[in-house]
Amino acid sequence: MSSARPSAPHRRRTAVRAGVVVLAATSLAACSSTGPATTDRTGIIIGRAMDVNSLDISRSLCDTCQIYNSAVYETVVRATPDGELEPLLAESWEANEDSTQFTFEIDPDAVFADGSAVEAKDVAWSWLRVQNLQGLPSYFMQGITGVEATGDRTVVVTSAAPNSAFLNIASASYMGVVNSDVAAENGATADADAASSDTAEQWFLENSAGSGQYVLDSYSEGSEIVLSANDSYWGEEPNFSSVTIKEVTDASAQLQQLQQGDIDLAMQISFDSLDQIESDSSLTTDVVPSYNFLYLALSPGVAGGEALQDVRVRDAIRMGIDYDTVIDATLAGNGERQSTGIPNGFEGSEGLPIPDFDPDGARALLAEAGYPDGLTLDATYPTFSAYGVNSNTEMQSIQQSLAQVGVTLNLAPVDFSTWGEQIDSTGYPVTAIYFAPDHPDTVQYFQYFSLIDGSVWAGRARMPVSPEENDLVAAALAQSGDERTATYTELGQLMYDDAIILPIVNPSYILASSADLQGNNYDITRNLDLTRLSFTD
Amino acid sequence: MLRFTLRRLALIPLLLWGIVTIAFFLSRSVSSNPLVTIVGERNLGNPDVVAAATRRWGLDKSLAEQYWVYLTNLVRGDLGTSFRTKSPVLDDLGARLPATLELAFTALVIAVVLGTVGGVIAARTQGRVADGVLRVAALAGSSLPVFWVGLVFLFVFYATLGIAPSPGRLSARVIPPPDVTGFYTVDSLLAGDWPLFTDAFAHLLMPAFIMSLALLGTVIRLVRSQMLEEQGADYVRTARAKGMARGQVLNRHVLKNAITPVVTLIGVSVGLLIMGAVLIETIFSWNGIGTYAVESSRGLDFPAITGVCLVGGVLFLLGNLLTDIAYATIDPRVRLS
Amino acid sequence: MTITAGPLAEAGPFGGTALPQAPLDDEKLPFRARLRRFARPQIVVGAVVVLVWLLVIALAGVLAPHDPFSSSGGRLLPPSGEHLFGTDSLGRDVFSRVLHGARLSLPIAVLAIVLSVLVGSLVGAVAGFFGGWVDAVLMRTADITMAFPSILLAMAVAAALGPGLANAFLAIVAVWWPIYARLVRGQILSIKEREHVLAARAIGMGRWAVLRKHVLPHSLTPVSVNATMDLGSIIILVASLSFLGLGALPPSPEWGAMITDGAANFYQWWIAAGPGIAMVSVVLAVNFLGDGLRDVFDVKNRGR
Repeated sequence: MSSARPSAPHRRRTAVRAGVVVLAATSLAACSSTGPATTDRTGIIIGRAMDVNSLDISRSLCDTCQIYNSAVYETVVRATPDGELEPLLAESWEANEDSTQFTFEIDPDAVFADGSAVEAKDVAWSWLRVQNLQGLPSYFMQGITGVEATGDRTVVVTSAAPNSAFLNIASASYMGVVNSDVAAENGATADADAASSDTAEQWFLENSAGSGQYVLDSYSEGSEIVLSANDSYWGEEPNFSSVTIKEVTDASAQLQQLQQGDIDLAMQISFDSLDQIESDSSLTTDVVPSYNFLYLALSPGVAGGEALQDVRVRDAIRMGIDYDTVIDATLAGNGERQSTGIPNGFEGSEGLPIPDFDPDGARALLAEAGYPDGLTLDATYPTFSAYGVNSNTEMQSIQQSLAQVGVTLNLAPVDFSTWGEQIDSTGYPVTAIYFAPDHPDTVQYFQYFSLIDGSVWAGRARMPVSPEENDLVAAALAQSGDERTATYTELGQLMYDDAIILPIVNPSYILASSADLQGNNYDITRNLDLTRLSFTD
Repeated sequence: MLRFTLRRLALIPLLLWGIVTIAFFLSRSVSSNPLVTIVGERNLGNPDVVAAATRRWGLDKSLAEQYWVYLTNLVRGDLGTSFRTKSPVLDDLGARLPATLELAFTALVIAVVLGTVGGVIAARTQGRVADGVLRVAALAGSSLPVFWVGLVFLFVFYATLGIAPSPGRLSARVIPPPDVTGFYTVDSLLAGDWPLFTDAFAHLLMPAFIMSLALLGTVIRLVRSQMLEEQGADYVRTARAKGMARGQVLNRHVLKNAITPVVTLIGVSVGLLIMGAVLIETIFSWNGIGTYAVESSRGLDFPAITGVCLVGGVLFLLGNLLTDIAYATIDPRVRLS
Repeated sequence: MTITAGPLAEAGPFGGTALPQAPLDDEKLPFRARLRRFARPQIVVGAVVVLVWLLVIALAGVLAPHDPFSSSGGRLLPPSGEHLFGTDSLGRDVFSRVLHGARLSLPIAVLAIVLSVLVGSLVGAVAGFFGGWVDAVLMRTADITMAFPSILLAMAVAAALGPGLANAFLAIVAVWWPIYARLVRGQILSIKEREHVLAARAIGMGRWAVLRKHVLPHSLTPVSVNATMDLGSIIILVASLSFLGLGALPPSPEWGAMITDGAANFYQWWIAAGPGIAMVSVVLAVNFLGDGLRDVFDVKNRGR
């Protein structure tokens, strides 16, 4: 059998030789060349686990969304780190006496990225869209009965009941103003039936229509969001030519990439690595307080929670948790205790009692309530890792300390979807979850945790609504200044007495970035405020 | 031949329908609520938001109705919209498929080339140390949990020795090539950007190698056993009797016949490669179908899960079809069965 | 010329098929000689390792130096005398968890394969024996199931049922049974027309009886060899599902779940190394066993 082809071993040898040549050429080229083209060092790369649920500002609600929304869109007012409100798109604003009407005057210099002026109609359109889409941030517009553009630059917002929280709410990044003409051209609508007629969500995945410092360049789901500087920005020039939010899922991967300079800023470094990065001179590190917290929720009204109906039992549980040990186990000690559902530092949190670990007191209370030999409770909770805390670690630690006072906790971790399905239907007697602020006003916590009409946890815990708390919330919304703070504090105290929500820990937050960066921060409404961040050169 | 192929092709729609149906009902028979992914924990207690979301995603319709809607859309090429990414599943899959294909193809090439070389060496050195080592290595290849090996390799070659590049398709801050095929290697060559090609290829090597391990073992053993069998075949004995050197016979006649079954193996390997993709992509931060499948499963993203199963099924069936055609071409008896 | 007359040779109604030449059939050899066939290095090594792991499963409680569920030292400690594989992110001894994990990963895999074999064999037997539309329906179902890439189907089933080891087990059975259905059906088709079977039917033996007495025993060998070889893949599949978060949930010491923890704490390599090495050793051993068994039973490769 003769053939024109060379024989097999010859062929193989040739192939091997060819392979070696290719390999050599490759490595030679790699060494001698300057390497592939890289992004500019005037652009910043931020590494985090992206939790984007939408790039449509009126439908989004997530931490990464806050960064994106505040970079690309702007709100009428801006919340400063000290809790004040500054003008942004609105150059002035006022509320009427009983906080049922708010008027904003839009800055005449404000323009969108396409050059067109930001007008009152855009503000009205954007806010009505938030309300009518009935999407994730729609509850921000709760109670608002009208938003009207009474002139080119004047917006009037009307609320049925007093709503002194509205100004704070308006500073939330989700209340950013969208270029209504451009968006409407692409299927967006603010009409009453927007929930079914709006078709723009996909358009927003590739385009932004805002007035912010940056515009959306590209979004690669699961990979990165790339923003480029808005050349027609009407205010102070952006600090970066581009902003890339890169998906880096694990804390250890973020650490690695930060140390190697692959990313400039990491948002979710774990406390275990703190020592490692604090001693690295190429990095800037800081540990700051946050407004996030993890809590236990007790539901006396659900099956299995009967023992919890006695407030002494709930108090005893609060006293039976060794907070310091739990914080050590979960965060290596980097967290604070918190009194009740109002985060430390928020209006109304000052002066509220901080829970202590008091095993003797707990046991005494339990005996008094009729449980001298302790009791058993089922605790079902979702498996998650949030703000540095692993729910399993947290619950196992709590289980250990409660065992000391005679409370046996049967732990049942479930996945998030299962938990989500059950929590609002059959409910769980004891569960654990977390909360992060959506906007700077404390009222969100009362609306979520207090025993008032429409409160989520009042519903879940199957607890009767407290008329006193109802009245106080309504009153607070009609007040302002110190008067309101006092009412908020009173509500906080009542929440503490209710003992339905038991905060476990308020985790601290690690700011970690390359030493070339200054101004790394943690912000309530923006999550990371890019305007305060810049390269040191 | 044509009839055979046509007969096989006719089966495919039935099988695909079966896959779609199973995937559809499986993903929707969940005991937990996908609305958690859609509305988030904060809004679970808000009846308006929940109602709006239920309506928007068609979850208020009966299961049969949802199935009908899905099928009618599918015929028009619409795979639905992902609950999670909010963009059409077809777009998501299209964006991610090239990454997985690039990985799988490279893995296949590595497995076939290295496997054939290994199998030949094993056959030639039959009974000696090299043969034993290769046979054990082949067995090991199929025994290793791919995701663990990936972690080990990353730790040793990347974190400790610093030889391998970081997980991901390109180095950090590197700008991807202009999109033509979606394969970074091909696109960078088309753009004439040699450094970029090197970067993309370097990132491809380790995950592709690990992905090839399962297949590598099978190829080595198959080539080895085929070659040994051929060795005892009549025509070889005849050639030897006629005076041909052992080496010559082994190579010219035997190798050619031994390699043919490997070709048929390629089709069947699609299943293995998909499995590898799901696990490897997670570890190597490879933005392909595998990571999409994992994230969709976790988030109970029905349209995405069904879409991924469909794509996987299509690839699998095509692979099997190619295998069958290849077999039929080689062995006419199969065709006529 | 080789004949494998199988166990029917003695049990058949027409008597044994004793051949005048030297018996090539295993069952004809004296017991010791038959056993020697199995004394290949692969089988010996494989069997020894498997036995070791069986011991571990039985005695994990005794062998494990620490409680696998509670903290027994500092967090993330590297391997030491006290903690052979160090401690994980919750301060638990990784070595103890690996030992206890064997009790989860291995029995589940064995159960999964046994159930797959049972279900698959039943389906295949029925399909092969009864033929006709029964065969067509069953085999098309098997084809569709096999057309699914196994990991995707397992993920879909696990996602539908929710996470948890029990559900992962069901997912695997759902994926694996068609292989045995096909195998057994093929076996049946090949011997359905054999003389002794036809003869048995001729004398009026019921279909089920023939199935039981003649057909199924004959399939035992290829099925069991296949099952042993599949066992390794199933162990890995269980771990893969757990790795993806669809199988065992924390704080379970299942090996796949432990490797997930190891991936999250990448620099603490011992957390993933422990379960990984354990899994590799078991799977290799099982694969050696299967490979060796196949060599023994596969007539063609005898002598290699």
